[in-house]
Amino acid sequence: MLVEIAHFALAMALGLSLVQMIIPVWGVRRNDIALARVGEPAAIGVFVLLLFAFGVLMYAYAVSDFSVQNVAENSHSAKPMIYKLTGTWGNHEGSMLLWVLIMALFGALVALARTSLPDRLRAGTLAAQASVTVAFLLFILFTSNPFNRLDPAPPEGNDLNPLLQDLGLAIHPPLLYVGYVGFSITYAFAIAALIDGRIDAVWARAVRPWTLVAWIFLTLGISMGSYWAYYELGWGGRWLWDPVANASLMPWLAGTALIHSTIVMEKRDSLKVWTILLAILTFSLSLLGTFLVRSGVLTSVHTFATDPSRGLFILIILMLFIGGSLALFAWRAPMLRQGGLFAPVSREGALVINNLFLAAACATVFIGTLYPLALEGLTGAKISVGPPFFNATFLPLLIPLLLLLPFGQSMAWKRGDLLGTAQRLGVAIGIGILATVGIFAATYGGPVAAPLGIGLGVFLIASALWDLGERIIGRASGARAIWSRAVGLPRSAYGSALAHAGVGVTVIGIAATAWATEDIAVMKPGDRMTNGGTAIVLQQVFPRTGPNFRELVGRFRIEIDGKERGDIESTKRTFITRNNMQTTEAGIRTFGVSQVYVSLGEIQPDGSVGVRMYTKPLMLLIWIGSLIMGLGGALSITDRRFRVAAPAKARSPKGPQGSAGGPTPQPAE
Amino acid sequence: MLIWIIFAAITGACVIAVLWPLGRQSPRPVVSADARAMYEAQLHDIARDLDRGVISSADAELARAEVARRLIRAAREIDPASDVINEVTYRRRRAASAIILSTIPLVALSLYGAKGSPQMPAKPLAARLSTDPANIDLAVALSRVETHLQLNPTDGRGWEILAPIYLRTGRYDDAARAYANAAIHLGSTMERLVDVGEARVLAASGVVTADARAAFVEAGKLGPLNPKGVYYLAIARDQDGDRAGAIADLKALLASAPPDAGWSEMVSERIAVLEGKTPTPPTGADAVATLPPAERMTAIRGMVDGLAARLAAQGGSAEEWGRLVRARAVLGDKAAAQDALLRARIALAADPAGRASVETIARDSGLEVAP
Repeated sequence: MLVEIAHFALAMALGLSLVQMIIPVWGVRRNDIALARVGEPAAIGVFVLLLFAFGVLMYAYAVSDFSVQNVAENSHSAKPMIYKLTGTWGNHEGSMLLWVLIMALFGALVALARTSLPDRLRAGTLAAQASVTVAFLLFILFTSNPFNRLDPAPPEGNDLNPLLQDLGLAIHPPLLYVGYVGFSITYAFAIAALIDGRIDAVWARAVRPWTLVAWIFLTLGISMGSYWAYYELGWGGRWLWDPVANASLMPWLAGTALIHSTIVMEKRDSLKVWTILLAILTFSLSLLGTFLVRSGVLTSVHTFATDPSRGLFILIILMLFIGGSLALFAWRAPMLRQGGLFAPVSREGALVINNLFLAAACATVFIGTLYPLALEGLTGAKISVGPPFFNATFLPLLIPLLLLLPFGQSMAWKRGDLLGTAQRLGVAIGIGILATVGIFAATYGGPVAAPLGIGLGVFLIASALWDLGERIIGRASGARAIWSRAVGLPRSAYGSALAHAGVGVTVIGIAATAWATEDIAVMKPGDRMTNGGTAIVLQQVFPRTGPNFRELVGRFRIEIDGKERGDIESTKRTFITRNNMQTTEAGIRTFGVSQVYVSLGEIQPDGSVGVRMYTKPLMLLIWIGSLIMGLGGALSITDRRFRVAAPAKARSPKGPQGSAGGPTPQPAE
Repeated sequence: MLIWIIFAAITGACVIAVLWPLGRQSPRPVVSADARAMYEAQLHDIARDLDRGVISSADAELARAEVARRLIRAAREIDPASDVINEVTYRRRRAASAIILSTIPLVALSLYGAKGSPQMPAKPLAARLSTDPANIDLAVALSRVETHLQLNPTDGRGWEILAPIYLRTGRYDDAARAYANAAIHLGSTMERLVDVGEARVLAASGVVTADARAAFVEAGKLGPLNPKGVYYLAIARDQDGDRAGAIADLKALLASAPPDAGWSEMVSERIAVLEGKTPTPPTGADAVATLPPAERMTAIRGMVDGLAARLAAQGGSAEEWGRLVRARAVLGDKAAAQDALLRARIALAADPAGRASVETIARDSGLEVAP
């Protein structure tokens, strides 16, 4: 009966969403607070109903109720409990339900954010967001209903794709969805502002924390997905430039541009039109990603099941929301009041450059992802756009962006001083060059580009810290003064410094992959494989039985520089519950931030096994860097000006400290 | 019934929650008073920063002027005429209430009504397994054992439990494999190998194949064959053309039967068939033929019922429908046969040739076929 109540709750959520979509707009148009306020209980109600529905679905998975078609198709009674639970969203229907649940969560949060949002904006935002919820609820109810029943119930389920039976499923999709769906709120804010025709610093300030939340989760979601692919797919890579990865990268690039442009809008009341457009584009790219992954246009581990009717439905949603919002934008944007002016060389100018590069990079990925699909659709020709394309187009856009980043970060608002900024960054530049030269000398004969990359990363970190240090220490003298300035510095300043340093850490990790090694050998117990100072010795190969799989385990001993450093196990699993599908579980051991990665290959008839050994120096920095970025974003959200409205110390022609062209004590983001 | 009460409660709760703001007679229009509050807070912060010495007084003046400009602009945008609550407002709110009251239940009930299955109970696996052994969900139990054996293929005891279940459900190949696995992991005995042989015979529709015979011969080497083994080897002998020898073997078997042996009847029937006293059953070499008559009828009816259920659920070819109609008629169940014919004509509405062939079969079977 619970399942049926959940199904009813899902239908009820659609009814409430319709009310949430229509009544508040009416209230705003007629200036009637009571009608405008209807959106709030509706949004909270939708969230409660969907939370209940999702909880029941999860419960059905937990107790293996195979009379629910979705459970029968994606679960198995022998599966460990954790994967039964995470399997709730390891399939199309369940993941769409999670998607609308998170959307409803954001809606409920907006409804509850009574103090930080103007009434009109909140009502409009809730209505705009409800329209997206309505579309997705219709999609779920008509093409992907997770509460379809089976009678008679099958005795056993189909089990989940073994690649998804991993802790990564518990982490990656929810994070990514919070990111994707979080941008639906900024989209809704933009639509509400366009309809109301009122876009100002208040809007930018209201939107900014939501954008940051979405951005943080998207950053973490992408990064965790990349780590998951790295250890689960057994190929030791981290980013394939495959369309599915690109689908999540595009909204990230646009979202990164958005959080930077809202700063300009909030501080200087300019870049309004562009910011609105970015807000629309970011969520449109999220929708596009959903379409690409779910419609069956692309086939991957994310596709789950292809069903043309779903693809068509998502395509209609896509056209409705992207087309509709862009049309609204074209109609209303020219009426927006233009904001303050600024010189090309200034913090604003730097942020515009940041936006230009990010948008161009995003466009590059967009073309590289969609062109092959369009070509195949039109002419049937299959071409593959892979790393060579992106290395040739994406990197040239990204490298200047990263080189310019520290300059923008320490430039003054409105009118900056390029030379002065460069002088202040001298130390950081010096450290970067020193790192490059030092590493180049130490690894002479190795890859040439890698030391440059490391130098860039070091430069980014050094300049972020230097800039922060200068703001704190500056001309202050004495520990007391320094302490008071350190406390007085807004948290968003620390946040931005941290986030930019995180970019540097990630850059170092990526650059260091040039030194990664890969060795392949056929080994028998007792055999040894060596690369540089790292060696593995195959101890034994033996079978083992898991809850729903059997596996062949290869146990290796690691020796680094002649010293034993423990064991490592890589296995080949055969999932008997899923047509004996095989997966490879790589063995990974971490030493500091470097890793040794061992993966079992083919088993030969004579008992020897194919083995791949990778050494991955500094590999973990890639993901640690993204964690630092996320942490920086989180710090920025806790900045007090988002909790209580606080000063935008604008229009001061010089830095308030009076030092000509000196850094302002303002949040830099 | 309970479920509808719950649905009604949910609907009521949602409607009341949404109507709540409409009931409050708030006179406040939607204005951006919040903007005013924000700018006022900004002014306050500037004063505070000035006190702490974070900004100079000149900068504070400039910042104040800027905030004040924005504040004035925001204040100008507020529409003073919107503070009025009048008859129009009330009428508007009543209309909104009517929309809410109708939309929410209508959407929820119509969508759920179209897609839901309110009468269907939940079926968590634990409940399906813990019912008393008499009416345990056999399919669930079977798949549990299967999963267990796939993970632990060397559990001979498990194979031995599984094999007869396969046999009973007509999965003879699987049964043969299961018996063979039991023999491998528990050790070959005469009985186990005879069971392997029997399953192979049944899989081959009653023909003692070379594989099956090898199993019986192998079993014979491990000890004196049990009656089942002797019986099947006799059938094999008949297949080889030695009917007299087969009859002699069966008669010897019958003679050695203890008085309460359940299989004596089956053996004597077989002897009668071999001696030509009883016509060979029409199902010919079907495995069913080796069953005693009462069981045979049950088995045949079971198979026909299975076919009927499958055709009703998934549909089927004209040939299958024809087979069902004929089987029903042959079993003497006129009403069921007519019903099968009716269903066949509906199912084959788009296939005139197939429908005609089923109708021909029905006429040949003595059914009335309306034009």
